[in-house]
Amino acid sequence: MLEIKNLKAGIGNVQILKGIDLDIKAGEVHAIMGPNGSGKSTLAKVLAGDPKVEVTSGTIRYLGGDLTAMEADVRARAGVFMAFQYPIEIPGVNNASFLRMAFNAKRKQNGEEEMDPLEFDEFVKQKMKIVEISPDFLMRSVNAGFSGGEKKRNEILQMAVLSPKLAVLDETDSGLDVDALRIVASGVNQLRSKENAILLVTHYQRLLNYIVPDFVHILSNGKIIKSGDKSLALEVEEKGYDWLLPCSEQTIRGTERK
Amino acid sequence: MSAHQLDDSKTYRDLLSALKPPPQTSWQSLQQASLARFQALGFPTRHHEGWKYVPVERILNTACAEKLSGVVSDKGQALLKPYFLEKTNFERIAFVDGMLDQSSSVIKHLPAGVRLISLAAALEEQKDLQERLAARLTEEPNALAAANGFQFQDGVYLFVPKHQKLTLPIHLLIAQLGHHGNALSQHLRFAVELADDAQAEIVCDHLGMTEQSYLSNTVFEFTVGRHARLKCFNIERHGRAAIHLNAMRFFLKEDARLDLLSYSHGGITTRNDLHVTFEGPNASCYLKGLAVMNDDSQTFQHVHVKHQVPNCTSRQVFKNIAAGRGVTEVNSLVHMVRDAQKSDSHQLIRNLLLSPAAHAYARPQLKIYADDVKAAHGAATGQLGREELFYLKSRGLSEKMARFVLTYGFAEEIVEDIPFPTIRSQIETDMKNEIEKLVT
Repeated sequence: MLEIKNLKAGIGNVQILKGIDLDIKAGEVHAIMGPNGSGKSTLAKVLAGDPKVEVTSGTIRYLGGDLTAMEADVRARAGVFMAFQYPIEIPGVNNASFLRMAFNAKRKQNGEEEMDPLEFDEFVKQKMKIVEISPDFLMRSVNAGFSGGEKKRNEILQMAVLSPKLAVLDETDSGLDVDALRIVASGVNQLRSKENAILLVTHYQRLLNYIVPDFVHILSNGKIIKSGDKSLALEVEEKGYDWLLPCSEQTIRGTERK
Repeated sequence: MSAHQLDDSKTYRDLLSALKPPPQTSWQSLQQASLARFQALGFPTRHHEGWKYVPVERILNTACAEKLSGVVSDKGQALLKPYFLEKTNFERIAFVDGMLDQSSSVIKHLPAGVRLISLAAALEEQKDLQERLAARLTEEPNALAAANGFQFQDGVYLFVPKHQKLTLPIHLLIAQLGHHGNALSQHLRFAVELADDAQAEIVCDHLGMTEQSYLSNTVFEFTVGRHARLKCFNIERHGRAAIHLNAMRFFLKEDARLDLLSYSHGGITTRNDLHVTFEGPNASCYLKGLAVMNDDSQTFQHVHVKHQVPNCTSRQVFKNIAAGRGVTEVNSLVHMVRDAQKSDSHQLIRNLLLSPAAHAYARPQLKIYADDVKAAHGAATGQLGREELFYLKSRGLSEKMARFVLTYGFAEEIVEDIPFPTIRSQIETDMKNEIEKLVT
């Protein structure tokens, strides 16, 4: 589904991703872990098409096509979804209309008929059960005045409505209490299927107790330095990242700490 | 056509220059006060602070037909009908091309003691009303609003007695259909008096159905008695060549409350003077405004809230969207006199600029002489946020749709407070159509 080859990308003049290779097939869940500043979020953004991040070399193939040549909205309609680490507040825009617009944009793209508000209302109410959100959510402005947990749940609700082929969850666990984490993770698990793939970006192993990945990759200084199965995440939890880093970086990090 | 006294060669300046002491008329003292005030203030120029950005020359040089009278044709009636808001129960008084149009007006149910009549008729009957209006004119700061007291063709007088509440909201429909290719000027004046503990809801609906140029000079004076409550909706949907001078004066007694919502769209030049004077303690006003400008459209909101007594609260939120070469100015002054202790005011101006040639002037101002008050003010002018656009696009919305949604969302916050579904949905449609044009 997704093939990333020697991807280099940065923001402004700063190169952040320094040669990423990653293959994700339908039905797989991959987790990307890594220390602060390793480029995890940049990788998520590059996949979603954030114009702030510039790809300098390498390729990203998605379902056989060149993902980098597609605008963010085209990617979304083609089934790529990113749950934001910090979901944006859009005051004045009603959540229900926003979800319907996004949903219908995709339907239109697929040559399907748009869903009318009444029909959509029924549809979205079913989806809301997945993330245990109360119906008054729909009448509020998108993320405006939502708590951290509500925002994250709203991201997963959007994912449920749009049923993406490739979902990238950028630190969806950050800022969540245990109960909210359980709800969000259970939502993601319900949306997991043989047809779609999920890329989890996270700091902590904690999320991976709930959403069990098929593969775990450690990202450091813009490169994947180790890949393995879920046991790799447990190892990181126990030992930290330092043992995985190249000697030169260990020294630098060690110096920083002093 | 013989009924029309049309003379296109005259400009608004000519009309104003020709004002002279009135002959014996039934509202002579009001006219005298108006003329005296106009002459004392003189013609506005851009050297006056309050007219600095306003295209005064354009206003004064507008060709004006001196007086119009006529009957609204069936065709005109058909054009107006969708704006009668029939699904909401309103008392409606309609002015078409400057004249009271009886056939479009409907009075259904006025509670005991409520008077809703033509201002001309009210002035004939009530000498004391004339005295009150004349007295207010001596304080009028805007020369053109002062001149309206002389020039007005007609208007409405509303009186709601003590403890009385209007059963139905009032819809003042002030429409221009355009008149056989002649430039049109209308001068209307409205006086509203709510006695103590009275309540009223009023929609002032200015509607331009013509692309012809016209000049509309409207003045509203509201006196809101003790504990009385007024909800006022000022809706301006003008033709592209319209010039609208709209002065709204609110005088609030003790414990009175005013909610004002203003929406402006269209018109080459619109100037709204919204003045609130607190005349009794513990009164409050909540002012909200939205203006949408495109092409060469210019809107000037001049707000003046005078805290003359202690313990009053004022809140303001004015939002503007400008595209094309649109210009918006919000010049808002909160003035607290020395005795106005414990006053509490808040001003917010937000401008959204959608094109490089659009202009926004945000001028929140404070003049404070009391030492125990709260006065917050803020202004922000910007473009659509990059982060917000990306967020919407990442959900599959096209660039154009994302821009539309964000712009509409910016505006909707103001419009959603209109409690009448018929008028709200008309404005939302109006806004959607316009914003769609703005974001392409």
